[in-house]
Amino acid sequence: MAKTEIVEGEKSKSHHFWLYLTILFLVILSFLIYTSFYNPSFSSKFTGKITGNIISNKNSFNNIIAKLDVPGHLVIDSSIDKISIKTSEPLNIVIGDQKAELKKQSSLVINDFKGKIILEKQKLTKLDGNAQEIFIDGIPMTRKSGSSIPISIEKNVTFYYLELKNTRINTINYIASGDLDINNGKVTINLKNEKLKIDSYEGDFLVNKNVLSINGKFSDINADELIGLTIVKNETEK
Amino acid sequence: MGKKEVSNEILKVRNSRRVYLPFYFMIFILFGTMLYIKFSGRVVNDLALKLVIFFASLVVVITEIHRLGNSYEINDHSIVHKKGYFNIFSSRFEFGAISDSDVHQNLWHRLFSYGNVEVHLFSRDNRIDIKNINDPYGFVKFLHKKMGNFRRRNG
Repeated sequence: MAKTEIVEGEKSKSHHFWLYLTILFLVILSFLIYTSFYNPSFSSKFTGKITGNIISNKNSFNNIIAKLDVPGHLVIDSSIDKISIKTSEPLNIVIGDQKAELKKQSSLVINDFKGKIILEKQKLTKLDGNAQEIFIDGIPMTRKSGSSIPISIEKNVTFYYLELKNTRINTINYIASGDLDINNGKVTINLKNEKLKIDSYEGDFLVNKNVLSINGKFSDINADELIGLTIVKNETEK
Repeated sequence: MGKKEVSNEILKVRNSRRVYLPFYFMIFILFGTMLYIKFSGRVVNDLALKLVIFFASLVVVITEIHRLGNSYEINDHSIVHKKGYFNIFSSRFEFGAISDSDVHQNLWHRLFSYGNVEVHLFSRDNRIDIKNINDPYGFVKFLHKKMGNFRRRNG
């Protein structure tokens, strides 16, 4: 009578199949985490143009003024003319090889900053770079030699005011609510918890309480599932 | 038991879906990660979303197809094992040829109440492996009841 046991060859093939499925799972999980936490702009590099683009102009820039809610995660890695922060909790910063402690509701101004900032809602989780001038509650801290000063924060800090003057952000990508005005009123968009992606943004960036205000220019914007898209022609075009 | 049918004292079983719990858990992890990403204000990449949906569908389809590959039936006089998808290989083992049976459960099996049953034939070289079924003790109990009835009927 025939045995019903699975023969070795089949068993090994079957095991391989489940192994491939596990590897596929790990690859998809890694891709999901990478594209959401570390490189939100990955999709445009990989898939090319995404459907739903409303303004795209790689050769020149469009103007944008917007009032939105604050992104849950935003990486800024560039030079910034001026950073102004008003903290809502004590802050420990490292300036050169010195540590300084800022009290609650202190102000910190950093001029000519070059480095990395990570913003998560109204929390700075990273600020690490070099600056020419630093002011703590109006008191200047500079080097006699005029060389740049390394500055970083020791732990996450909550703020109620953050202003970045003339910064460059590769990608602003999050589920946003608020109003955008593009090219001096040519296009106005009202977003309600919708996907927003702005590439190559250059300009000012202000977070005051729960509102993000941006005023600058960008190369490409993508907003899926638009609600309330209004195109308003300029007076000259009428 | 995985797809259990008791009609006119016939028991039909297939592999338990609990065998595939690790794969269902992978789907849970992927959807959980996407929910976390969404609620933390980040954006789920379109391609990643499509890959997650593809993976979830693939796992559900493959596990169901895999389950269909084997079925076991206990009727009034034999155990029937059917194997295959399009070409079915069917083996029948009369109760008269069966000597005894064992249940094998490791910790994972016991945790989720499934296991393997080995049905031995009088010729010790041959045995029927009934793998990954729900409630293996219930299966063995039903088998012994059927074998008892069979032996009483046949003296």
